[in-house]
Amino acid sequence: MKAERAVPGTLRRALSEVRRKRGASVGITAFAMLLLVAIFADFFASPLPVYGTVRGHTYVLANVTRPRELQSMSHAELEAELARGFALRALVHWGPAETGTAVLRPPLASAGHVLGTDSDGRDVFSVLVHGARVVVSFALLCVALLVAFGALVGALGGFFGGVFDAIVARSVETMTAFPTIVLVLAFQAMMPKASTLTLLLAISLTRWAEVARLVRGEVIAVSGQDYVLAARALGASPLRILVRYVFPNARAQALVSATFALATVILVEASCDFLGLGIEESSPTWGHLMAQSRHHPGAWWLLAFPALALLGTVVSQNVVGEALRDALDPRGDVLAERPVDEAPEQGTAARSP
Amino acid sequence: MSESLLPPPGRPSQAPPRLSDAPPGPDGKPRSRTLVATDRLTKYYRVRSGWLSRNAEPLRAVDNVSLRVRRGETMGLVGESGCGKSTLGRLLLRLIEPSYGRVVYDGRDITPLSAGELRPLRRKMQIIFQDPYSSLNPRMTVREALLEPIEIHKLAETKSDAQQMIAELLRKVGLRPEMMDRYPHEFSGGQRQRIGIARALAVKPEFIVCDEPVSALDVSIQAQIVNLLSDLQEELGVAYLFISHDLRIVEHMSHRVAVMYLGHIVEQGPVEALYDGAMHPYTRALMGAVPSPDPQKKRLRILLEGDTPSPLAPPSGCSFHPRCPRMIPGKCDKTTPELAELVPGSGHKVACYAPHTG
Repeated sequence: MKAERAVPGTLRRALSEVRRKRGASVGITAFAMLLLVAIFADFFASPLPVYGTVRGHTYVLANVTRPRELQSMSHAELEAELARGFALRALVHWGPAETGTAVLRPPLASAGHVLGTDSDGRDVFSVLVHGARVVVSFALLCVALLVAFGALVGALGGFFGGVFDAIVARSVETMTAFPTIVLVLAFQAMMPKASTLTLLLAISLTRWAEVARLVRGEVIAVSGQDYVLAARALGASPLRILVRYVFPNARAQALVSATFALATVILVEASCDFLGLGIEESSPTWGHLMAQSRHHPGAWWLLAFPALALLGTVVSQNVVGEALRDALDPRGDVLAERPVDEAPEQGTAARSP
Repeated sequence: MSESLLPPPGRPSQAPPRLSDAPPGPDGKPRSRTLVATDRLTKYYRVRSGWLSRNAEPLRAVDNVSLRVRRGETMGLVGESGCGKSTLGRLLLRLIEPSYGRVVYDGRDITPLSAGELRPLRRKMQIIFQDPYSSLNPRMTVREALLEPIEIHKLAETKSDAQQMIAELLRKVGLRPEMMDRYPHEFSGGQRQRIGIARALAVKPEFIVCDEPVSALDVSIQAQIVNLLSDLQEELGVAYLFISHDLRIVEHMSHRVAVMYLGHIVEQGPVEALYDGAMHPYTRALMGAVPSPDPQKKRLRILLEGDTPSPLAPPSGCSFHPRCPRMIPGKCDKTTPELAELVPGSGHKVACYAPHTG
């Protein structure tokens, strides 16, 4: 009801439209599932019990709180203790860093390892699930950073114009001329010590340009509207015009580019992990898992499962991004734009083109 | 501040007014009749003639325009598309910066003022736009849009005061106050134009630039908006610069009319004088193109040959001379005629070496 009245081209209207599209809702569902897996990774794979008694002491949500005395126990010891009484366990009993004795086992070949193990004996399912957490939090942080920076620079450039805008426009063109991955790898390789933080900065520094380009274009379009001129004629300060008129109208565009940026960031991050210039080896990620397959070409499960996860994530985000972009396209709203009713004194001829 | 520095009460701080030119205002203070005046106002735009070209061609959007709008009167401004009408309107409000010349508002040169110094003056002069679809922020309800002027100029003490002002404004422009929580897309073009007028009226301006306020509307709605503007002028004593290419509406609305061609004012005068006795060949051609409802009335049709020249390369001399049926070779194409009264005191000025007289 409320959504029908929402302004064309706004987020609320767009979201209600996106929800009606089947492809987009599949994408949203997939992304929501990824988020759930990332948030509740400890319930999907953990050696520690959700509820269980170890050495006479009952633990609740030990998989989340990770008490030190339980973590110091060996895997076999813990399994034996928990087997004694009633215990509620995570889906898979292996943590992402735990190395078992079963090395390079294919899926279902070894008890407890549904998707097999890697070359160090880590459970692939556990790495995937906990990798999702690393990937999602890294990507969200990175996108927040680059969208904030890109949107700010693009908005200010488009609004104030002049030399600053010329610098923004030229650097955006320069940045987009290079493939993201090349720039990120070059940046990482130049760093004395490549780490997660430098990767975050590298991706943000290369990807902000795309956001800045879109937001700048939108801001230029908005600034040329008569209502901005009217606000200036009313004596509104540039800050007021930016905050009240320009930002709200460019917000939707920033969200669309954020959705696309999320997919790119996840892909670039995984590539860097694969090439060994990404997140530290100690953190479980999909890229690291795939990287192992270089040395073990026969272990298809090390490549296939993380690749599928990556594919699903990127495709779902692109689908959502495209649906959002279509929904926000004002040209799509022309037919929906109808006045609710006419003033009594205006009669039926009041609707003008 | 010491007492003696203040002007003595009951006497104007400015020079004593000339009686003929200055009827007392509502507050008893003598005021000049001229509200807005421009002095050789000029706006050039730099247009790059080619890629990486260093010397840019100046586009003369408004060239050497001196115009006066009196208090409470409507000055019509007519001319074809691209002749600089809108640019002139925006220059008057200093929404764009002039290249040369001055804008004098109520005896004060506003051209050198900073944005901060200009803000209090913004209350006095407002603008209404042509396109009712881009003149309202799609993300603001009517209430929010009308709250903007009230907030910027702190016109209301309390929220309920502001509320009442908004309701009053809506009533004044013929809309129901219940509509204030709707978004612009829920209104028709005519209704949106009324909202735009209400926004301009919120600051109680003395001068409004109406930039083709009805040309985007249906004919039936045009009449309503034009009548609304007339009523508001009667009620509030506001002066308009009424920009339009519709000569009949300008005739209906205006006290005086100026005709623009390629950035210049070619003729200017009281509406009757201009419509009945146009002196400039261009004005006569324009008047001849107005359809008349009376089939018996003979229309004097003058067909102009050729297109309007590009403002990038305006003709030498009088900019109208290549199309003018009365062009005097050796004169019109050499020097630019000045805008001057043929009959002193008539207020009817024309910039032509071969005007139609009698």
